[in-house]
Amino acid sequence: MDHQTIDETHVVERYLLGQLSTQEAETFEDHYVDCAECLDRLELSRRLRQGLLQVATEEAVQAAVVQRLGLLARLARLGRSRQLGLALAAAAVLLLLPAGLLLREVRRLDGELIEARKQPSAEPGRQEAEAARKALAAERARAEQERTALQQKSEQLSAELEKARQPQVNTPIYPLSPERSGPGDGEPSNRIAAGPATGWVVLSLDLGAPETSNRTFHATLRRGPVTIWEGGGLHPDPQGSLVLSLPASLLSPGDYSVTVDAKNTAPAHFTFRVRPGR
Amino acid sequence: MERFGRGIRFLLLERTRDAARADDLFQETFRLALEKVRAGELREPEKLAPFLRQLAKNLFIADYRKTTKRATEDLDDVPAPADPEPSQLDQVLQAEDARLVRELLRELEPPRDREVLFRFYLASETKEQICARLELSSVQFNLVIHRARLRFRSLVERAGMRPGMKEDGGSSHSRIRAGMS
Repeated sequence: MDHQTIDETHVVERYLLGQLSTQEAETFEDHYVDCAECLDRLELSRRLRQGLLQVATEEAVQAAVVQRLGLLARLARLGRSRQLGLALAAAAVLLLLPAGLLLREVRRLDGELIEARKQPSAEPGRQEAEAARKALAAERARAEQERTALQQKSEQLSAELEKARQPQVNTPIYPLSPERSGPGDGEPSNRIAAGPATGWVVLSLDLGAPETSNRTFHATLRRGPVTIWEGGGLHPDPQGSLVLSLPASLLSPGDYSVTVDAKNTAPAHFTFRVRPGR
Repeated sequence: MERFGRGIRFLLLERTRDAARADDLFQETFRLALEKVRAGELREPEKLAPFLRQLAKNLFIADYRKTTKRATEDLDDVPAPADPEPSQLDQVLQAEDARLVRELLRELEPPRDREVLFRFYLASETKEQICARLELSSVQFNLVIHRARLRFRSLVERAGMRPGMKEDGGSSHSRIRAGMS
């Protein structure tokens, strides 16, 4: 093993990084145990690497602090614009954890700043520390509010999920026939009672002939002009009925229509009125 | 021992990452080597370097096995391991090395050269990977590493901390002695 090869193929660095094969490493070891020049290079490269590691670590720590403060600001903005629904339950739970961690980080930084203010050596930077403390306190307050709101929402969603997991007894089933006239013509003849204790409501929509069971339908549930829910790729049962289970919480009192259509088929309209129940 | 001591110590330190353990194994390597040479087990004197290297590695492996076996037999009976934290002197020297590296990085132009160093020395990327990612030729890459190495050496020497020039090489004490001589 000659020095030109060692230099050109960076054997010294690759040895320290463990990138040489076993045989290459042994050959190089046999050489360097008796070579002051290579030992100099090895020690120098090891120190260069350790120095780079220390510099990189310090820079990473500084970057992490800046990133955390940025995250905190973003978290504070989230709460003002987001409407959480049932579909976001998982996201809400996931958000709680970083919010808590960030809050703890803010408290820790706050404590450090208070300690720093007590030190005489910190006097020249006292104003900056005070400003930073106030900014952190404001961020902490916002994060606290956000955390509380998320926690309440999470508890509410957990209660709803728990309720939904329970078996339903005497679930009301409403068989509906299609309206002859179009939607919006006259008062709905079907009446449905839905209240806080109702849980779920089942609508059995009669689509007519059983041969419809092998076709794919699209259904739209509206309350007045507002679309509440819609779904595609729906298959009726063998009797030609499309059965929809709806959470009663979706059905506030009012007039509703369900439109079911398929390709090359006239749409079927179903109407019903929801009145307050128990 | 004068001729091979520094290299064997470096090898052991690289394996153990523990100066105290490396020192113990170093002493044992040369004690055993002397016994074997006297007993005529080294038939080809020109192969003394591989002989010592293999002896040191075998002792390291045996010591490693002994330590791990002890640890798995009964954790309560395991003697306290050597302090893995660097000594105060080593910490000072490491801080000084970091200062020199910062100075080196400040001087590097263009800034891409800094990235080459970080990728090569820390991220363990190969020369080919770095050249492909940063669109460098092999010659350019070699030049960056060569210049950085030379500059770091001159910074180290200017700071009076030359790489080990004494028989026992890598320890912090020898570095100080070398620097003061």
